[in-house]
Amino acid sequence: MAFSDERIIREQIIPYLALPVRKLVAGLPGEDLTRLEEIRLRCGKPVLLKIGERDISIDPRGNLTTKISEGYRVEQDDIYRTIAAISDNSLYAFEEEIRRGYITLRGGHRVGLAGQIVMKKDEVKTIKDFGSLVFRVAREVKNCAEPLLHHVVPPGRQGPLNTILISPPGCGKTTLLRDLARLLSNGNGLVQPVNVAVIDERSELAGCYMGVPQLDVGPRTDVLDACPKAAGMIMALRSLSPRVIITDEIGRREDVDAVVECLNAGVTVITSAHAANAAELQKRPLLSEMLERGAFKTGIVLSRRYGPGSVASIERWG
Amino acid sequence: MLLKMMGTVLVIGGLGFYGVSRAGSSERRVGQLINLRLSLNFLEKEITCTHTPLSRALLKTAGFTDWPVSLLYKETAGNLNKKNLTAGEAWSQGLGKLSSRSDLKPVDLELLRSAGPQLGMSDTLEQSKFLALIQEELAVQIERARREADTARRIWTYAGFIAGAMIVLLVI
Repeated sequence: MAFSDERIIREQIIPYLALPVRKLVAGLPGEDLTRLEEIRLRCGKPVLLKIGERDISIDPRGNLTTKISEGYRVEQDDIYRTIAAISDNSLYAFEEEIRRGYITLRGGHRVGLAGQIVMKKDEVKTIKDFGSLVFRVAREVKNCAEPLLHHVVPPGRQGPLNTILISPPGCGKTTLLRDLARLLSNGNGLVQPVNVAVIDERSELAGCYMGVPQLDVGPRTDVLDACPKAAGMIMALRSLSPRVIITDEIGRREDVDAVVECLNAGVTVITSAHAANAAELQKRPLLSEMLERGAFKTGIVLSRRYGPGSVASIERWG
Repeated sequence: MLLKMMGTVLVIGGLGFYGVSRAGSSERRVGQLINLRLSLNFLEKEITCTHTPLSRALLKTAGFTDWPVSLLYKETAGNLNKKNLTAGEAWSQGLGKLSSRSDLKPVDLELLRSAGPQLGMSDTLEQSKFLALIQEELAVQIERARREADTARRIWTYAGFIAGAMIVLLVI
């Protein structure tokens, strides 16, 4: 597993980096590459790596350093060459992705983009003069959702319950949702396999590259990639006949309406929302309205207490 | 006498041929500039209409274009794929190859060189704008080259033969 993570980073991320940064990152020991979560390139600033829980830089000699100011300073040319490599020198072919603020690489890894935003009629038209890039390594943690499975599909129940994962950012909601999709789609001793539709507005759940999921979301899973959640849920409902719809981070009025429509159609919705705990979730008017309407039966509150994906509490409603 | 006649024919013929070939080079330059303009139009359509990735768009353009202009696109695409260069660098190397095999003048190549840094690195609207601009500038260059070719044809054709005749007269 560790070796495979290192290989993935060497093959799917490092080749896109500009040569000076590539040499430095490629020279890192395998164990650091295995735990690498982010690479941040900011013009004129030291290159920043997130390895495990720590922010670390690499000095120009290739040594890891916690003194960020000693790190190799990223130049404008490094940013330009990196974005040219990511886009295959064809930024025009990534207009939609750039408008959304990120490009997905083969393997499902995401490169977040920042720079000068060009607006047209109150909408982001494009980003130009890129100032920073954030590589986020997509990692599957297979079976990480297995301990949650009996909360989502209580013993004796035929199918999964409408479930919402609750946590602040960085607690593993997306990773758990992806694994739940895979487990429900595969089936196991606890659950019968079911058809799953993943509505992946930000290409994080399935990490699609050219429409094909790069991360394992199971054999009975259809993915609507880069599709707005509300529209995607209704599309999936009408055309894919899923038993379960999985989507990430609901919170807008149209999302709530779409969830209710899915529930009325007898389709289970498993989703997530940003909140520190159930009480905080109930302070958000739209989500609280949904809970009052009995939309969700189970809430799983996550924390980082024992690392990402730790279960803090289980809430039962209705 | 026979030797003198053969020498005369050789000198006049040789310099005349040189003059004609120089005139031909000016005409070939016009043809190559026209070809470049058409190929840039093709490339623009590949980029703006079908969003084809640059290396593939360049290869398709090479297939659409006559030699030696096709060299520019083939070389650029090859460099992009193999050498991990930016589009600007690959384009510049492609121009190097084109300049050694074509009749284009440095001023034409300079105009094309200015396209390199922008190639592929903006949205379709910006790509369309800058490729259209290069084509307009090429149109102006084509008109200029045509006028130069007319003059050059007259000058070089006559000059070659006249120079040959003068040398013969001086030597005799």
